[in-house]
Amino acid sequence: MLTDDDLTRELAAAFHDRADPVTRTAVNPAGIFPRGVRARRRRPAVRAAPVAAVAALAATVLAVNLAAGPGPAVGARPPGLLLTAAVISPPPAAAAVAGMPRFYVTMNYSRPAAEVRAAATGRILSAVALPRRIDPKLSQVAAAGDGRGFALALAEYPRTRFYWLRVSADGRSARLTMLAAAALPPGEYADGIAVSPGGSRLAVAIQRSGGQRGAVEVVSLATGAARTWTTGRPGFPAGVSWADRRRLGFFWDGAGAAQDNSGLWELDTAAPGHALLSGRRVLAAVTGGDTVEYAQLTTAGTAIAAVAYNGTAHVGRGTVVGGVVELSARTGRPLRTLLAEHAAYAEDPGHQGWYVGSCLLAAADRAGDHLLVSCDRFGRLDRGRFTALPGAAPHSAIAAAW
Amino acid sequence: MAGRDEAEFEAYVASDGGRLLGFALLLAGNYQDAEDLVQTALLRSAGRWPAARQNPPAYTRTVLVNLARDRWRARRHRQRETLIADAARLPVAVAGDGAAAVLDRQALLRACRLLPTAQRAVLVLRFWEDRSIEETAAVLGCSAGTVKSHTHRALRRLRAMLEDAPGAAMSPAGPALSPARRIDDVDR
Repeated sequence: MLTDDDLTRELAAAFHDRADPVTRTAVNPAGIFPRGVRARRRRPAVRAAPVAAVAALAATVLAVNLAAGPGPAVGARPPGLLLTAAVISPPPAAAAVAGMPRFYVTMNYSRPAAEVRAAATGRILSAVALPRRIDPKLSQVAAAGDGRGFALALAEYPRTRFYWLRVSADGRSARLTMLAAAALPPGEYADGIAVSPGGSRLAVAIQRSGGQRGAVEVVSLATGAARTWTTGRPGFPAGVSWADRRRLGFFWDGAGAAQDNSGLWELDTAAPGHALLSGRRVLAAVTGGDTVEYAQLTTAGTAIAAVAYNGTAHVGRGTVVGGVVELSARTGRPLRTLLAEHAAYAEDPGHQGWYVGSCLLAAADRAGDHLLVSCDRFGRLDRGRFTALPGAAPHSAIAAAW
Repeated sequence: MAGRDEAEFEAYVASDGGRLLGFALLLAGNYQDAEDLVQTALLRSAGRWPAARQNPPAYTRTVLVNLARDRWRARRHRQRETLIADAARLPVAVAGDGAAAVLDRQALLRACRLLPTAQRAVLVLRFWEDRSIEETAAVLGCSAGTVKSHTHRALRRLRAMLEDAPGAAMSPAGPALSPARRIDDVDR
Protein backbone atom coordinates (compact mmCIF):
# COMPACT_ATOMS: atom_id res chain seq x y z
CA MET A 1 0.00 0.00 0.00
CA LEU A 2 1.33 3.38 -0.98
CA THR A 3 1.57 5.63 2.08
CA ASP A 4 0.83 9.35 2.09
CA ASP A 5 4.50 10.00 2.75
CA ASP A 6 5.51 7.93 -0.29
CA LEU A 7 2.99 9.72 -2.44
CA THR A 8 3.83 13.24 -1.32
CA ARG A 9 7.55 12.56 -1.72
CA GLU A 10 7.05 11.37 -5.30
CA LEU A 11 4.65 14.20 -5.95
CA ALA A 12 7.13 16.80 -4.75
CA ALA A 13 9.82 15.24 -6.92
CA ALA A 14 7.52 15.26 -9.93
CA PHE A 15 6.63 18.91 -9.34
CA HIS A 16 10.29 19.87 -9.00
CA ASP A 17 11.24 17.93 -12.14
CA ARG A 18 8.54 19.70 -14.10
CA ALA A 19 8.55 23.23 -12.79
CA ASP A 20 12.00 24.02 -11.43
CA PRO A 21 13.65 24.45 -14.85
CA VAL A 22 10.98 26.97 -15.77
CA THR A 23 11.59 29.09 -12.69
CA ARG A 24 15.23 29.51 -13.64
CA THR A 25 14.93 30.28 -17.30
CA ALA A 26 11.54 31.32 -18.51
CA VAL A 27 10.68 34.74 -17.11
CA ASN A 28 12.05 37.97 -18.38
CA PRO A 29 10.51 40.85 -16.43
CA ALA A 30 11.96 43.34 -18.87
CA GLY A 31 10.03 41.69 -21.66
CA ILE A 32 6.48 40.56 -21.86
CA PHE A 33 5.25 41.54 -18.42
CA PRO A 34 6.09 45.24 -18.53
CA ARG A 35 4.59 45.35 -22.02
CA GLY A 36 1.41 44.09 -20.51
CA VAL A 37 1.49 46.69 -17.76
CA ARG A 38 2.00 49.48 -20.26
CA ALA A 39 -0.86 48.13 -22.30
CA ARG A 40 -3.03 48.14 -19.22
CA ARG A 41 -2.34 51.79 -18.69
CA ARG A 42 -3.58 52.51 -22.17
CA ARG A 43 -6.57 50.24 -22.01
CA PRO A 44 -8.37 49.20 -18.86
CA ALA A 45 -9.58 45.87 -20.31
CA VAL A 46 -6.27 44.39 -21.40
CA ARG A 47 -6.11 41.07 -23.17
CA ALA A 48 -3.50 41.82 -25.79
CA ALA A 49 -0.44 40.59 -23.97
CA PRO A 50 -1.62 37.02 -23.30
CA VAL A 51 -2.86 36.68 -26.85
CA ALA A 52 0.45 37.98 -28.11
CA ALA A 53 2.27 35.40 -26.03
CA VAL A 54 0.15 32.63 -27.48
CA ALA A 55 0.80 33.97 -30.93
CA ALA A 56 4.53 34.05 -30.27
CA LEU A 57 4.57 30.41 -29.27
CA ALA A 58 2.44 29.47 -32.24
CA ALA A 59 4.85 31.34 -34.48
CA THR A 60 7.69 29.25 -33.03
CA VAL A 61 5.76 26.10 -33.74
CA LEU A 62 5.09 27.21 -37.27
CA ALA A 63 8.67 28.17 -37.85
CA VAL A 64 9.88 24.64 -37.24
CA ASN A 65 6.96 22.84 -38.80
CA LEU A 66 8.83 21.77 -41.86
CA ALA A 67 6.26 19.30 -43.01
CA ALA A 68 3.08 21.27 -43.04
CA GLY A 69 4.19 24.69 -44.18
CA PRO A 70 2.77 27.93 -42.90
CA GLY A 71 -0.91 27.08 -42.91
CA PRO A 72 -3.44 24.27 -42.69
CA ALA A 73 -2.67 21.68 -45.30
CA VAL A 74 -4.39 18.73 -46.86
CA GLY A 75 -2.26 15.63 -46.51
CA ALA A 76 -1.86 11.95 -45.84
CA ARG A 77 -4.27 9.69 -44.03
CA PRO A 78 -4.40 10.33 -40.30
CA PRO A 79 -3.88 7.59 -37.76
CA GLY A 80 -7.15 7.77 -35.85
CA LEU A 81 -10.62 6.44 -36.54
CA LEU A 82 -12.62 9.57 -37.18
CA LEU A 83 -9.86 11.12 -39.16
CA THR A 84 -9.70 8.17 -41.53
CA ALA A 85 -12.52 9.77 -43.48
CA ALA A 86 -11.32 10.81 -46.89
CA VAL A 87 -9.48 14.10 -46.99
CA ILE A 88 -11.34 15.98 -49.65
CA SER A 89 -10.00 17.94 -52.55
CA PRO A 90 -11.60 21.34 -52.21
CA PRO A 91 -13.69 22.67 -55.08
CA PRO A 92 -12.61 25.70 -57.10
CA ALA A 93 -12.77 28.94 -55.16
CA ALA A 94 -15.88 30.26 -56.89
CA ALA A 95 -17.81 27.09 -56.14
CA ALA A 96 -16.50 26.88 -52.59
CA VAL A 97 -17.69 30.32 -51.57
CA ALA A 98 -21.16 30.09 -53.11
CA GLY A 99 -23.67 31.09 -50.46
CA MET A 100 -21.02 32.35 -48.07
CA PRO A 101 -22.24 34.86 -45.46
CA ARG A 102 -21.18 38.43 -46.22
CA PHE A 103 -20.01 39.32 -42.73
CA TYR A 104 -18.52 37.73 -39.69
CA VAL A 105 -18.38 39.19 -36.20
CA THR A 106 -15.48 38.68 -33.80
CA MET A 107 -15.01 39.65 -30.20
CA ASN A 108 -11.86 41.69 -29.80
CA TYR A 109 -9.79 40.24 -26.95
CA SER A 110 -7.80 43.44 -26.56
CA ARG A 111 -10.67 45.74 -25.86
CA PRO A 112 -14.41 45.54 -25.27
CA ALA A 113 -15.57 45.71 -28.87
CA ALA A 114 -17.32 43.58 -31.45
CA GLU A 115 -15.93 43.90 -34.94
CA VAL A 116 -17.97 43.40 -38.09
CA ARG A 117 -15.69 42.13 -40.85
CA ALA A 118 -16.14 41.41 -44.53
CA ALA A 119 -16.17 37.64 -45.02
CA ALA A 120 -14.30 37.88 -48.30
CA THR A 121 -11.30 39.81 -47.01
CA GLY A 122 -11.58 40.05 -43.24
CA ARG A 123 -11.49 43.84 -43.46
CA ILE A 124 -13.14 45.60 -40.51
CA LEU A 125 -16.30 47.30 -41.69
CA SER A 126 -17.46 48.57 -38.31
CA ALA A 127 -16.63 48.20 -34.64
CA VAL A 128 -19.20 48.37 -31.89
CA ALA A 129 -18.21 49.38 -28.38
CA LEU A 130 -19.36 46.93 -25.74
CA PRO A 131 -19.85 47.59 -22.00
CA ARG A 132 -16.47 48.43 -20.50
CA ARG A 133 -16.55 45.86 -17.73
CA ILE A 134 -17.04 42.79 -19.91
CA ASP A 135 -14.51 39.99 -20.14
CA PRO A 136 -14.23 39.22 -23.87
CA LYS A 137 -12.68 35.82 -23.22
CA LEU A 138 -15.77 34.69 -21.37
CA SER A 139 -18.22 36.24 -23.85
CA GLN A 140 -19.97 34.56 -26.77
CA VAL A 141 -21.43 35.51 -30.12
CA ALA A 142 -23.83 33.65 -32.41
CA ALA A 143 -25.36 34.49 -35.78
CA ALA A 144 -29.09 34.64 -36.40
CA GLY A 145 -28.58 33.14 -39.85
CA ASP A 146 -29.97 36.07 -41.82
CA GLY A 147 -26.51 37.55 -42.25
CA ARG A 148 -27.26 40.68 -40.23
CA GLY A 149 -28.40 39.69 -36.75
CA PHE A 150 -26.06 38.45 -34.02
CA ALA A 151 -26.72 37.48 -30.42
CA LEU A 152 -24.08 38.25 -27.81
CA ALA A 153 -23.63 36.88 -24.30
CA LEU A 154 -21.37 39.33 -22.50
CA ALA A 155 -19.74 38.37 -19.22
CA GLU A 156 -20.10 41.52 -17.13
CA TYR A 157 -18.80 40.39 -13.78
CA PRO A 158 -20.58 38.94 -11.87
CA ARG A 159 -23.40 38.38 -14.36
CA THR A 160 -23.71 37.44 -18.02
CA ARG A 161 -26.17 39.55 -20.01
CA PHE A 162 -27.58 39.04 -23.49
CA TYR A 163 -27.56 41.54 -26.34
CA TRP A 164 -28.53 41.76 -29.98
CA LEU A 165 -26.28 43.26 -32.64
CA ARG A 166 -28.00 44.39 -35.80
CA VAL A 167 -25.67 45.07 -38.71
CA SER A 168 -26.63 47.39 -41.57
CA ALA A 169 -26.92 45.97 -45.09
CA ASP A 170 -23.45 47.17 -46.04
CA GLY A 171 -21.94 46.18 -42.71
CA ARG A 172 -20.64 49.68 -42.03
CA SER A 173 -22.78 50.32 -39.00
CA ALA A 174 -24.26 48.19 -36.27
CA ARG A 175 -26.51 48.77 -33.29
CA LEU A 176 -26.41 47.00 -29.95
CA THR A 177 -29.58 46.47 -27.90
CA MET A 178 -30.30 44.40 -24.82
CA LEU A 179 -32.33 41.24 -25.28
CA ALA A 180 -35.35 40.22 -23.22
CA ALA A 181 -33.47 37.20 -21.88
CA ALA A 182 -32.73 37.44 -18.16
CA ALA A 183 -29.11 37.77 -17.10
CA LEU A 184 -27.43 34.65 -15.78
CA PRO A 185 -26.98 34.73 -12.01
CA PRO A 186 -23.49 35.11 -10.49
CA GLY A 187 -21.47 31.94 -10.80
CA GLU A 188 -23.07 30.91 -14.08
CA TYR A 189 -21.41 31.46 -17.43
CA ALA A 190 -22.51 31.04 -21.03
CA ASP A 191 -20.22 28.57 -22.77
CA GLY A 192 -22.07 28.88 -26.02
CA ILE A 193 -25.17 30.39 -27.55
CA ALA A 194 -27.14 29.66 -30.71
CA VAL A 195 -30.07 31.41 -32.36
CA SER A 196 -32.77 29.05 -33.61
CA PRO A 197 -33.71 28.90 -37.30
CA GLY A 198 -36.23 31.69 -37.74
CA GLY A 199 -34.59 33.72 -34.99
CA SER A 200 -37.28 33.35 -32.33
CA ARG A 201 -35.31 31.52 -29.64
CA LEU A 202 -31.87 31.63 -28.11
CA ALA A 203 -30.23 28.48 -26.75
CA VAL A 204 -27.64 28.98 -24.02
CA ALA A 205 -25.10 26.43 -22.78
CA ILE A 206 -24.65 27.25 -19.10
CA GLN A 207 -21.76 26.29 -16.88
CA ARG A 208 -22.15 26.27 -13.11
CA SER A 209 -19.94 25.52 -10.12
CA GLY A 210 -16.70 25.90 -12.01
CA GLY A 211 -17.63 23.31 -14.60
CA GLN A 212 -18.96 20.68 -12.22
CA ARG A 213 -22.53 21.34 -13.25
CA GLY A 214 -24.25 22.52 -16.40
CA ALA A 215 -27.57 23.25 -18.02
CA VAL A 216 -29.08 24.21 -21.34
CA GLU A 217 -31.62 27.00 -21.47
CA VAL A 218 -33.82 27.99 -24.38
CA VAL A 219 -35.19 31.52 -24.17
CA SER A 220 -37.94 33.12 -26.22
CA LEU A 221 -36.50 36.31 -27.65
CA ALA A 222 -40.00 37.80 -27.81
CA THR A 223 -41.06 37.23 -24.21
CA GLY A 224 -37.95 36.20 -22.31
CA ALA A 225 -39.70 33.02 -21.18
CA ALA A 226 -37.13 30.31 -20.57
CA ARG A 227 -37.10 26.55 -20.34
CA THR A 228 -34.16 24.77 -18.72
CA TRP A 229 -32.73 21.26 -18.99
CA THR A 230 -30.33 20.01 -16.32
CA THR A 231 -28.63 16.85 -15.18
CA GLY A 232 -27.16 15.54 -11.95
CA ARG A 233 -24.09 14.31 -13.79
CA PRO A 234 -20.95 16.39 -13.33
CA GLY A 235 -19.91 18.34 -16.39
CA PHE A 236 -21.18 21.12 -18.56
CA PRO A 237 -22.37 21.80 -22.11
CA ALA A 238 -19.54 23.40 -24.06
CA GLY A 239 -21.71 24.77 -26.85
CA VAL A 240 -25.09 24.58 -28.54
CA SER A 241 -26.30 24.30 -32.14
CA TRP A 242 -29.66 23.87 -33.84
CA ALA A 243 -30.43 21.03 -36.27
CA ASP A 244 -33.86 22.52 -36.99
CA ARG A 245 -36.48 24.54 -35.11
CA ARG A 246 -36.97 21.70 -32.65
CA ARG A 247 -33.80 19.67 -32.28
CA LEU A 248 -30.90 21.20 -30.42
CA GLY A 249 -27.37 19.89 -30.32
CA PHE A 250 -25.04 20.45 -27.39
CA PHE A 251 -21.51 19.25 -26.74
CA TRP A 252 -21.36 17.68 -23.28
CA ASP A 253 -18.03 17.88 -21.50
CA GLY A 254 -18.38 15.37 -18.70
CA ALA A 255 -16.27 15.62 -15.56
CA GLY A 256 -14.93 12.87 -13.35
CA ALA A 257 -16.65 9.54 -13.79
CA ALA A 258 -19.14 11.14 -16.18
CA GLN A 259 -16.47 11.70 -18.83
CA ASP A 260 -17.79 8.64 -20.63
CA ASN A 261 -20.89 10.67 -21.50
CA SER A 262 -18.91 13.36 -23.26
CA GLY A 263 -19.74 14.12 -26.84
CA LEU A 264 -22.32 15.68 -29.10
CA TRP A 265 -25.87 15.16 -27.88
CA GLU A 266 -29.21 15.93 -29.45
CA LEU A 267 -32.10 17.30 -27.41
CA ASP A 268 -35.72 17.44 -28.55
CA THR A 269 -36.85 20.80 -27.20
CA ALA A 270 -40.52 20.02 -27.91
CA ALA A 271 -40.51 16.82 -25.87
CA PRO A 272 -41.66 16.85 -22.23
CA GLY A 273 -39.20 16.71 -19.36
CA HIS A 274 -36.13 18.57 -18.22
CA ALA A 275 -33.45 15.89 -18.29
CA LEU A 276 -30.53 17.20 -20.28
CA LEU A 277 -28.96 13.84 -21.12
CA SER A 278 -32.25 12.17 -22.01
CA GLY A 279 -31.79 12.50 -25.75
CA ARG A 280 -29.51 10.78 -28.20
CA ARG A 281 -25.74 11.00 -28.28
CA VAL A 282 -24.79 11.64 -31.86
CA LEU A 283 -21.05 11.37 -31.42
CA ALA A 284 -18.85 10.17 -28.55
CA ALA A 285 -16.00 12.45 -27.56
CA VAL A 286 -13.45 9.66 -27.76
CA THR A 287 -13.36 7.26 -30.66
CA GLY A 288 -10.29 5.09 -30.90
CA GLY A 289 -7.30 7.37 -30.90
CA ASP A 290 -9.28 10.44 -31.86
CA THR A 291 -10.74 12.96 -29.47
CA VAL A 292 -13.54 15.24 -30.53
CA GLU A 293 -12.69 18.63 -29.10
CA TYR A 294 -15.99 20.12 -30.11
CA ALA A 295 -18.82 19.34 -32.50
CA GLN A 296 -22.06 20.86 -33.57
CA LEU A 297 -25.12 19.94 -35.62
CA THR A 298 -26.10 21.55 -38.90
CA THR A 299 -29.46 21.86 -40.60
CA ALA A 300 -28.17 19.65 -43.41
CA GLY A 301 -28.29 16.51 -41.29
CA THR A 302 -24.59 16.53 -40.60
CA ALA A 303 -22.31 17.27 -37.70
CA ILE A 304 -19.10 19.22 -37.94
CA ALA A 305 -16.38 18.21 -35.51
CA ALA A 306 -12.96 19.50 -34.54
CA VAL A 307 -10.93 16.35 -33.96
CA ALA A 308 -7.43 15.81 -32.60
CA TYR A 309 -5.40 12.64 -32.53
CA ASN A 310 -4.89 11.49 -28.97
CA GLY A 311 -3.64 7.96 -29.38
CA THR A 312 -0.38 6.20 -28.79
CA ALA A 313 1.06 5.63 -32.24
CA HIS A 314 4.30 7.27 -33.30
CA VAL A 315 3.80 10.79 -34.53
CA GLY A 316 6.35 12.66 -36.56
CA ARG A 317 6.94 14.79 -39.58
CA GLY A 318 4.01 14.70 -41.96
CA THR A 319 1.62 12.84 -39.65
CA VAL A 320 -1.91 14.13 -39.85
CA VAL A 321 -2.95 14.60 -36.26
CA GLY A 322 -6.12 16.61 -36.37
CA GLY A 323 -8.63 18.43 -38.44
CA VAL A 324 -12.18 19.32 -39.13
CA VAL A 325 -14.44 16.41 -40.01
CA GLU A 326 -17.97 16.24 -41.39
CA LEU A 327 -20.07 13.38 -40.05
CA SER A 328 -23.54 12.00 -40.49
CA ALA A 329 -25.75 13.27 -37.66
CA ARG A 330 -27.87 10.14 -37.98
CA THR A 331 -25.16 7.52 -37.70
CA GLY A 332 -22.19 9.47 -36.34
CA ARG A 333 -20.03 8.04 -39.13
CA PRO A 334 -17.40 10.31 -40.66
CA LEU A 335 -18.17 11.44 -44.18
CA ARG A 336 -15.10 13.47 -45.10
CA THR A 337 -12.21 15.38 -43.59
CA LEU A 338 -12.57 19.00 -44.58
CA LEU A 339 -9.22 20.11 -43.21
CA ALA A 340 -6.22 18.12 -42.03
CA GLU A 341 -3.46 19.31 -39.70
CA HIS A 342 0.06 17.92 -39.39
CA ALA A 343 2.18 17.36 -36.30
CA ALA A 344 4.49 20.27 -35.55
CA TYR A 345 7.85 20.20 -33.83
CA ALA A 346 8.38 22.83 -31.13
CA GLU A 347 11.26 23.78 -28.89
CA ASP A 348 9.11 24.35 -25.82
CA PRO A 349 11.57 24.78 -22.93
CA GLY A 350 12.05 21.42 -21.31
CA HIS A 351 9.49 19.81 -23.56
CA GLN A 352 10.84 19.69 -27.06
CA GLY A 353 8.88 17.38 -29.25
CA TRP A 354 6.09 16.85 -31.70
CA TYR A 355 2.89 18.60 -30.87
CA VAL A 356 -0.71 18.06 -31.74
CA GLY A 357 -2.44 21.41 -32.00
CA SER A 358 -6.16 21.05 -32.16
CA CYS A 359 -8.37 23.18 -34.37
CA LEU A 360 -10.98 25.41 -32.88
CA LEU A 361 -14.33 25.39 -34.61
CA ALA A 362 -15.42 28.95 -34.02
CA ALA A 363 -18.56 29.09 -36.11
CA ALA A 364 -20.53 27.36 -38.84
CA ASP A 365 -23.29 28.57 -41.06
CA ARG A 366 -26.62 26.75 -40.75
CA ALA A 367 -25.82 24.06 -43.33
CA GLY A 368 -22.20 23.62 -42.31
CA ASP A 369 -20.86 24.63 -45.72
CA HIS A 370 -18.94 27.64 -44.43
CA LEU A 371 -16.92 27.46 -41.23
CA LEU A 372 -14.73 29.81 -39.25
CA VAL A 373 -11.82 27.85 -37.82
CA SER A 374 -8.64 28.61 -35.91
CA CYS A 375 -5.92 26.08 -36.64
CA ASP A 376 -2.41 26.99 -37.70
CA ARG A 377 -4.11 30.15 -38.79
CA PHE A 378 -7.54 31.65 -38.37
CA GLY A 379 -9.71 31.66 -41.45
CA ARG A 380 -12.77 30.42 -43.24
CA LEU A 381 -13.22 26.90 -44.48
CA ASP A 382 -15.60 26.87 -47.42
CA ARG A 383 -16.54 23.30 -48.37
CA GLY A 384 -13.01 22.23 -47.52
CA ARG A 385 -11.21 25.20 -49.05
CA PHE A 386 -9.28 27.20 -46.44
CA THR A 387 -8.70 30.95 -46.74
CA ALA A 388 -6.76 32.78 -44.03
CA LEU A 389 -8.48 35.80 -42.53
CA PRO A 390 -7.49 38.46 -40.02
CA GLY A 391 -9.21 38.70 -36.69
CA ALA A 392 -7.29 36.22 -34.55
CA ALA A 393 -3.68 35.28 -33.94
CA PRO A 394 -2.55 31.78 -34.97
CA HIS A 395 -3.62 29.09 -32.53
CA SER A 396 -5.44 31.62 -30.42
CA ALA A 397 -8.87 31.50 -28.91
CA ILE A 398 -11.58 33.46 -30.63
CA ALA A 399 -15.29 34.08 -30.39
CA ALA A 400 -16.68 34.56 -33.87
CA ALA A 401 -19.92 34.02 -35.75
CA TRP A 402 -21.50 34.33 -39.19
CA MET B 1 0.14 52.80 -11.45
CA ALA B 2 2.49 55.52 -10.21
CA GLY B 3 6.23 55.42 -10.85
CA ARG B 4 7.15 54.14 -7.41
CA ASP B 5 4.44 51.52 -7.47
CA GLU B 6 5.50 50.44 -10.91
CA ALA B 7 9.10 50.01 -9.78
CA GLU B 8 7.91 48.03 -6.80
CA PHE B 9 5.72 45.88 -8.99
CA GLU B 10 8.47 45.19 -11.48
CA ALA B 11 10.86 44.32 -8.66
CA TYR B 12 8.33 41.83 -7.40
CA VAL B 13 7.92 40.33 -10.88
CA ALA B 14 11.67 40.03 -11.21
CA SER B 15 11.96 38.24 -7.90
CA ASP B 16 8.93 35.99 -7.98
CA GLY B 17 7.91 35.80 -11.64
CA GLY B 18 9.77 32.56 -12.23
CA ARG B 19 8.23 30.84 -9.25
CA LEU B 20 4.84 32.13 -10.28
CA LEU B 21 5.34 30.69 -13.75
CA GLY B 22 6.29 27.35 -12.25
CA PHE B 23 3.20 27.45 -10.07
CA ALA B 24 1.06 28.21 -13.11
CA LEU B 25 2.74 25.46 -15.11
CA LEU B 26 1.85 22.86 -12.50
CA LEU B 27 -1.66 24.22 -12.31
CA ALA B 28 -2.31 24.53 -16.04
CA GLY B 29 -0.18 21.65 -17.30
CA ASN B 30 1.39 23.32 -20.28
CA TYR B 31 3.73 26.21 -20.80
CA GLN B 32 1.48 28.13 -23.14
CA ASP B 33 -1.46 28.31 -20.76
CA ALA B 34 0.86 28.93 -17.83
CA GLU B 35 2.37 31.99 -19.48
CA ASP B 36 -1.06 33.27 -20.32
CA LEU B 37 -2.25 32.74 -16.74
CA VAL B 38 0.79 34.47 -15.25
CA GLN B 39 0.49 37.48 -17.48
CA THR B 40 -3.18 37.94 -16.73
CA ALA B 41 -2.62 37.42 -13.01
CA LEU B 42 0.16 39.98 -12.99
CA LEU B 43 -1.89 42.47 -14.95
CA ARG B 44 -4.75 42.15 -12.51
CA SER B 45 -2.41 42.41 -9.56
CA ALA B 46 -0.80 45.51 -11.03
CA GLY B 47 -4.21 47.08 -11.38
CA ARG B 48 -4.90 46.47 -7.70
CA TRP B 49 -1.39 47.04 -6.42
CA PRO B 50 -2.40 48.91 -3.25
CA ALA B 51 -4.06 45.71 -2.11
CA ALA B 52 -1.61 43.31 -3.71
CA ARG B 53 1.51 44.96 -2.28
CA GLN B 54 0.67 43.73 1.24
CA ASN B 55 1.67 40.23 0.16
CA PRO B 56 2.27 40.08 -3.60
CA PRO B 57 3.17 36.35 -3.82
CA ALA B 58 -0.02 35.35 -2.01
CA TYR B 59 -2.15 37.87 -3.89
CA THR B 60 -0.94 36.86 -7.34
CA ARG B 61 -1.35 33.17 -6.56
CA THR B 62 -4.89 33.75 -5.37
CA VAL B 63 -5.68 35.58 -8.61
CA LEU B 64 -3.98 32.87 -10.62
CA VAL B 65 -5.97 30.06 -9.03
CA ASN B 66 -9.18 31.95 -9.72
CA LEU B 67 -8.10 32.51 -13.30
CA ALA B 68 -7.36 28.82 -13.69
CA ARG B 69 -10.95 28.12 -12.72
CA ASP B 70 -12.16 30.73 -15.18
CA ARG B 71 -10.05 29.24 -17.91
CA TRP B 72 -11.72 25.90 -17.46
CA ARG B 73 -15.01 27.63 -17.93
CA ALA B 74 -13.80 28.92 -21.26
CA ARG B 75 -12.29 25.63 -22.37
CA ARG B 76 -14.17 25.31 -25.63
CA HIS B 77 -12.61 28.51 -26.77
CA ARG B 78 -9.09 27.47 -26.11
CA GLN B 79 -7.09 25.15 -28.19
CA ARG B 80 -5.44 22.08 -26.88
CA GLU B 81 -1.80 21.46 -27.49
CA THR B 82 -0.46 18.05 -26.65
CA LEU B 83 3.14 16.98 -26.59
CA ILE B 84 3.54 13.51 -27.96
CA ALA B 85 6.57 11.63 -26.79
CA ASP B 86 8.16 9.32 -29.27
CA ALA B 87 7.04 5.92 -28.05
CA ALA B 88 10.07 4.22 -29.51
CA ARG B 89 12.41 6.33 -27.39
CA LEU B 90 10.61 6.01 -24.06
CA PRO B 91 12.16 3.56 -21.61
CA VAL B 92 10.09 0.63 -20.52
CA ALA B 93 8.99 0.98 -16.91
CA VAL B 94 10.58 -1.50 -14.55
CA ALA B 95 9.88 -1.29 -10.84
CA GLY B 96 12.73 0.24 -8.93
CA ASP B 97 14.88 1.48 -11.78
CA GLY B 98 15.50 5.03 -12.92
CA ALA B 99 13.27 4.82 -15.94
CA ALA B 100 10.40 3.74 -13.75
CA ALA B 101 10.90 6.75 -11.52
CA VAL B 102 10.69 9.09 -14.49
CA LEU B 103 7.56 7.42 -15.71
CA ASP B 104 6.07 7.43 -12.21
CA ARG B 105 6.40 11.16 -12.12
CA GLN B 106 4.86 11.61 -15.55
CA ALA B 107 1.96 9.46 -14.44
CA LEU B 108 1.65 11.49 -11.25
CA LEU B 109 1.56 14.75 -13.17
CA ARG B 110 -1.05 13.35 -15.54
CA ALA B 111 -3.13 12.19 -12.61
CA CYS B 112 -2.83 15.62 -10.98
CA ARG B 113 -4.33 17.19 -14.07
CA LEU B 114 -7.52 15.25 -13.42
CA LEU B 115 -7.97 16.75 -9.95
CA PRO B 116 -10.23 19.76 -9.37
CA THR B 117 -8.34 23.05 -9.59
CA ALA B 118 -8.56 23.77 -5.85
CA GLN B 119 -7.15 20.38 -4.90
CA ARG B 120 -4.37 20.70 -7.45
CA ALA B 121 -3.54 24.17 -6.15
CA VAL B 122 -3.31 22.85 -2.60
CA LEU B 123 -0.90 20.12 -3.64
CA VAL B 124 1.31 22.51 -5.58
CA LEU B 125 1.39 25.08 -2.80
CA ARG B 126 2.17 22.50 -0.14
CA PHE B 127 4.51 20.12 -1.91
CA TRP B 128 6.23 22.29 -4.49
CA GLU B 129 6.25 25.63 -2.72
CA ASP B 130 6.61 23.97 0.69
CA ARG B 131 3.99 26.23 2.22
CA SER B 132 2.45 25.38 5.56
CA ILE B 133 -1.21 24.55 5.89
CA GLU B 134 -1.86 28.04 7.27
CA GLU B 135 0.02 29.75 4.43
CA THR B 136 -1.80 27.65 1.87
CA ALA B 137 -5.12 28.55 3.46
CA ALA B 138 -4.21 32.24 3.33
CA VAL B 139 -3.32 32.05 -0.37
CA LEU B 140 -6.49 30.21 -1.31
CA GLY B 141 -8.73 32.24 0.97
CA CYS B 142 -10.05 29.21 2.82
CA SER B 143 -9.69 27.64 6.25
CA ALA B 144 -6.88 25.39 7.40
CA GLY B 145 -9.44 22.62 7.70
CA THR B 146 -10.36 23.01 4.05
CA VAL B 147 -6.71 22.75 3.07
CA LYS B 148 -6.40 19.55 5.09
CA SER B 149 -9.50 18.03 3.55
CA HIS B 150 -8.42 19.07 0.03
CA THR B 151 -5.04 17.46 0.65
CA HIS B 152 -6.55 14.28 2.01
CA ARG B 153 -9.04 13.96 -0.85
CA ALA B 154 -6.48 14.79 -3.51
CA LEU B 155 -4.01 12.19 -2.22
CA ARG B 156 -6.74 9.61 -1.95
CA ARG B 157 -7.82 10.26 -5.53
CA LEU B 158 -4.27 10.22 -6.79
CA ARG B 159 -3.60 6.93 -5.08
CA ALA B 160 -6.76 5.43 -6.56
CA MET B 161 -5.89 6.67 -10.05
CA LEU B 162 -2.37 5.34 -9.86
CA GLU B 163 -3.39 1.99 -8.47
CA ASP B 164 -6.07 1.64 -11.12
CA ALA B 165 -3.69 2.52 -13.94
CA PRO B 166 -3.07 -0.25 -16.46
CA GLY B 167 0.09 -2.14 -15.67
CA ALA B 168 0.53 -0.55 -12.27
CA ALA B 169 3.00 -2.40 -10.09
CA MET B 170 3.46 -1.11 -6.59
CA SER B 171 6.85 -0.71 -5.04
CA PRO B 172 7.95 0.78 -1.72
CA ALA B 173 9.10 3.86 -3.56
CA GLY B 174 5.77 4.27 -5.27
CA PRO B 175 3.89 2.81 -8.18
CA ALA B 176 5.91 1.76 -11.19
CA LEU B 177 3.66 2.34 -14.12
CA SER B 178 3.79 1.21 -17.65
CA PRO B 179 2.44 4.31 -19.34
CA ALA B 180 -0.97 3.55 -20.69
CA ARG B 181 -0.54 6.46 -23.05
CA ARG B 182 2.69 8.01 -24.23
CA ILE B 183 1.33 11.47 -24.01
CA ASP B 184 2.20 14.13 -21.51
CA ASP B 185 0.31 17.25 -20.61
CA VAL B 186 -3.15 16.40 -21.74
CA ASP B 187 -4.97 19.67 -21.37
CA ARG B 188 -8.18 18.53 -19.79
